[in-house]
Amino acid sequence: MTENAVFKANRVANAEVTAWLPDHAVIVENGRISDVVSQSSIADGIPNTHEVHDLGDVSLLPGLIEAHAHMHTAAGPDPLYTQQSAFNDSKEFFIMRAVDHIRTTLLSGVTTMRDLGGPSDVVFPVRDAVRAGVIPGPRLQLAGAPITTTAGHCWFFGSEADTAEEVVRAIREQVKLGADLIKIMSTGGMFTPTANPRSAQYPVETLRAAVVEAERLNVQIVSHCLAADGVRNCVEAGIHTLIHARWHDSDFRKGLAYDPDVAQMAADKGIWADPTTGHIMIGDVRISAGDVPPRVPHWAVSAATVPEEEHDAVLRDMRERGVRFVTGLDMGMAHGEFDMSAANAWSFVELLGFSNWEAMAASTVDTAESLRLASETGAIKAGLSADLMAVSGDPSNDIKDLFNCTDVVVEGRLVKRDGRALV
Amino acid sequence: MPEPAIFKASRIANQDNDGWLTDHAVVVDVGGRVEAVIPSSTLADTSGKKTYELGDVSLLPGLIEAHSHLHVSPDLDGFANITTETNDRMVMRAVGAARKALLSGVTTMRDIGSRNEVIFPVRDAIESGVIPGPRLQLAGTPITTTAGHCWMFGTEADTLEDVVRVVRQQVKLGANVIKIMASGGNFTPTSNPRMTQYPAETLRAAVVEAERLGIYVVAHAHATAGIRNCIDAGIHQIIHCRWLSSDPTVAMDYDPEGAARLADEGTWVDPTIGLSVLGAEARAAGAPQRRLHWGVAAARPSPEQTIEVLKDMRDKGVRYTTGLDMGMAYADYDKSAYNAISFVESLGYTPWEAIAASTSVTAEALRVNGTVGSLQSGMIADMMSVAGDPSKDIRALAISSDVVKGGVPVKLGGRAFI
Repeated sequence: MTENAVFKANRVANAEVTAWLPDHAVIVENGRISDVVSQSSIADGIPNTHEVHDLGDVSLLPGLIEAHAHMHTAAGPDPLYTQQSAFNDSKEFFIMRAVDHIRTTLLSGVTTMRDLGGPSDVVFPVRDAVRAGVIPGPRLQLAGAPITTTAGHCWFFGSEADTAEEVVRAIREQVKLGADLIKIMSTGGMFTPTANPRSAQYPVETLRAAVVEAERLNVQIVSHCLAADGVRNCVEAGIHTLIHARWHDSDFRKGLAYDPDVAQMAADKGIWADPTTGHIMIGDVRISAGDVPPRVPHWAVSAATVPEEEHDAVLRDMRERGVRFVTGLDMGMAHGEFDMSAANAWSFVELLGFSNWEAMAASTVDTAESLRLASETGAIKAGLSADLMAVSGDPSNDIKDLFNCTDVVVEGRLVKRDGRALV
Repeated sequence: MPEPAIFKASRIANQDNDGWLTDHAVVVDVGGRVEAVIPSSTLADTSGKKTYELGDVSLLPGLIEAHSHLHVSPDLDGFANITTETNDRMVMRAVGAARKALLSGVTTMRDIGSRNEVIFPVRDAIESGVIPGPRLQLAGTPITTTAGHCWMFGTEADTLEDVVRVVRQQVKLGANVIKIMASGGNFTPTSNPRMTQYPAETLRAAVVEAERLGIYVVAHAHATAGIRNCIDAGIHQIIHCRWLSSDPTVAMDYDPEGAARLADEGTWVDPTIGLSVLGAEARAAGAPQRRLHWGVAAARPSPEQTIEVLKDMRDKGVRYTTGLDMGMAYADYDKSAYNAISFVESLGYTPWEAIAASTSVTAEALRVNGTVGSLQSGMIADMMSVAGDPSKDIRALAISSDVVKGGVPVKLGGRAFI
């Protein structure tokens, strides 16, 4: 049950997430935003019908949208532990981790979380429990088990499918189990020693069959791609979002093989990218501070490690051509802790040249659009779900203030107030 | 990971939990154990130790909760949920319940009846640091008759041989304690709380087998006949112990001589009286009455009757553990303080006696008093603090300020880190 409520704040993000409305209030009725008004124009009688929360000197934003999580894996500074626990732990452990992780994410200000790959006997029951009110969590959009080749990237929690026919069947199975979207691994990845991040896992025809089937069933399809060959296949096949969008050359001795024409094609087709720069930047910060040892490179990329600056330059060029970015941290991987979604916006400002407001919009209204949730969440405007987060300070001045979450409202329900968890 | 630390507080319970040490400090070593409890003014070299100024609080050993069912929803839907939900859903409930208990100040918790598939993985996850929670001592599934009390999360065993085999199975799965249902119970409509479920010989066989395997047996018993069987069998602890008459038109059939035998043989009793206080408070605030079991509907013991009997048992020397029966309606996982509150308000304990019951005394019953339950050198640094002085007002125990498990703070100044 959600009460009718009013949330007053010194700074409230406007509907476009481009500027503050000073001393405004968000009026919530039946879990949805009914109005956003100046505090001075609130009707006198409103405390009789609404619970009034004066949040004070905070910046009130739409709840953050995290576009890329693996709720069942153990994030942390030790990549070996993350990997081995994902290999070895029981389903019960995955469920328990997931319950703990999604609560942490919610309390950090994330009100919508897209999981891009987890065991289907873990993530779907967890979502059901959130919806039933048994456990606290953000709104969850789930891919279920990612589709990958035998021994391919994330096979240990994926659905292995090698031929076009098998891929189509695997998509149907995930949709039957409750998937909101499809994740397919178009190349190998760093997390999986038996996969090759420099080479494609599927030909373009197979990816195209996957896109056709996903669209027939009215779900999005996003694809992991670390290799230039994989990016090209995805763009040609019409995959909806490129995850990572790294352009590794297929030659082990070379770095990136960026192709601006393919990037332009992605922009022209309206394909989104999830650059996952947040967790990479957090890792770099920790490594350069000496807090953790340097990364151990995957065997396929160890001969020619690509400087992050080079990759960031590619991402900036993609953006200039019109590719739009979603805020996906890759939560659950090393340095992708579940309370670190704000690192997405931080890295967009720090590395990719976003303004603070552009980064905040990316974390909210833009990613909502990409997730096809723009009519439900991602902005503070009448008619949308009351998904709100407040931070102390002013992230339009210092984007890192996004980490200082004080209050969280999800679907009209106050779950954190003045830094204290209520769930 | 624990690190050397100092926790300073205005009031720290002495090692017997019967008085305050004022302006003292608990010094914690690198292994998360209490190195010393000394006056703050005598702290010498504090370098290399993180110092926590807890301030004007009452610092106690972490509470010990002797009776939980971690996978049950503590509301009126509990029975409907337990009979329809998946194990996965119950695991998810248990994750939230364990955090809630720990943040309320419970650092050791005995779960005496949850599904094996749920509760043993939960303990493994807590011990591995995957999720936060108290130290758990577990029965796993209770042993009951077919259709008997709590069959829906129990292991059914009807004969003596079956019971012995199930004791062995529970030990194999990791049980630290055996729970057996000596009579029916109110939670289970297909059981009869006024009647026994096992003869004394079968209970005796369970006790012998458990002792052979190095653990102890607690038995649920509402019925006087069930209590008598437990006494004859040498059951180590009796849960509820309500002395219900076998005649459905007669509420109770208290046997003072039986009570004296419990005292003589050192049989502990978990009176679960905190649950009654919580239920009464909830109903006073407008909550509906719990569903009445058919077996007791015609003649329920009045609260006064029950309390009079429990007081008499205590006068005869029976010792009580602080078990709330968490998971039953209104017995939420953050309400362990209601054990001590009910002991003071209903049973006539002094506040210090109730504090000791919730800590060192119940630690003794759980056979863990060598490691927890008292703040003294060598013990695990499990602590909780409350604002105010619970030796003056026991209700101060209900809201924790700080919680430390194994020397690691999980809550400070009311703010949780987990």
